[in-house]
Amino acid sequence: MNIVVLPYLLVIICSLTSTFLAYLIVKERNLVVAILLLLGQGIFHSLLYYLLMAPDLFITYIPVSVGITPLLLFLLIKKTEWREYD
Amino acid sequence: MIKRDVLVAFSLSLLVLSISLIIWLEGYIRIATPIISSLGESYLYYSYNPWYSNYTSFSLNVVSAIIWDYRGFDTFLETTVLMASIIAIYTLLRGFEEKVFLQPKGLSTITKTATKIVIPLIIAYALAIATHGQLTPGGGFQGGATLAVISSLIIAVYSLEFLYYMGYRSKRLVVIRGLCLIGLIIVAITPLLIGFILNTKSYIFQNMSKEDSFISMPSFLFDAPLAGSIFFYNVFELLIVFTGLTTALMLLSLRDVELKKAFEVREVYE
Repeated sequence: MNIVVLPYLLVIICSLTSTFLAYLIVKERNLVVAILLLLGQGIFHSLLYYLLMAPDLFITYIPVSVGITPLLLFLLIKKTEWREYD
Repeated sequence: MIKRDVLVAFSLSLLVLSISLIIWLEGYIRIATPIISSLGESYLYYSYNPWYSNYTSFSLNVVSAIIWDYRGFDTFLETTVLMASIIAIYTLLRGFEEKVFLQPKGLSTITKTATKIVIPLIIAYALAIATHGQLTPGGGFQGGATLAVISSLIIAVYSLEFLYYMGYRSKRLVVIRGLCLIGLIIVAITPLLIGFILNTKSYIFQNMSKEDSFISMPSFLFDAPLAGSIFFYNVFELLIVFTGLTTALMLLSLRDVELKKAFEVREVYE
């Protein structure tokens, strides 16, 4: 495989997987599982930032998506409900 | 998660792929061309260029040079906007009180020990990002966000009580944040004051000497590029972002006992 094509292939795979995960997050009824899926999406997004040559955003996005956002969302779930009803 | 959802999500991503393929094949947008616009070229050319001392900022990281030197006022206003969000949280929780001895609860000893090992590493990494902002990718905001992970880890693993033991109070943090904002302003108007004393022309947010003003901030510390005011801006921004995010995390994770008065205040106003 040509080495120049590899980053572009990874970009395509990452963006498609994050689209895939976005739909599942919206449809998920169990909010704890939804947050875990959101974490997975955050990892793919940060990889995308790195592949598109934005290391500054990459460094910012990792702590925000993995360290701070899940804590706030888990706190929110702890104070309200962990399930979504129809 | 049922099978139908997975199927719909898969077809959605295929739709995105097909749309982007059409855009690429029809040539609506140029994707990843080696041609740089003339504005970008000038930034790349001048951001570290000792031979043009009137245009350069002595910063090896071009992004830092742009956000703190070429358009520093914009970034300063962004920093003040972050303050507004903290004030919004304060108004929402008006009347809360921080109670210190509420019996701390935390996770298991294994988790606590692992966190104890990780925390110094995170501190070192965050300081490196912020103080090397003029050399490598990163800067004040990135370092502050990384440092704020520590407080989020402590709240999750050791409970909020431990932050109180360490002397963290939301009001103190807001005061530190305000002081750092004032420090940022002082760094910004330093060239102006020097120019006033020496009776020469100078500008706000001036970093290196310009054509009609010879005042410049220190560009080198021994042999390492300091990039003048960019270093100081990055250090202040680190503290501002760290204290801001920590305040938000602390206020949003307050216990019910501490919020009792806040609810009473809200009822009175309603």
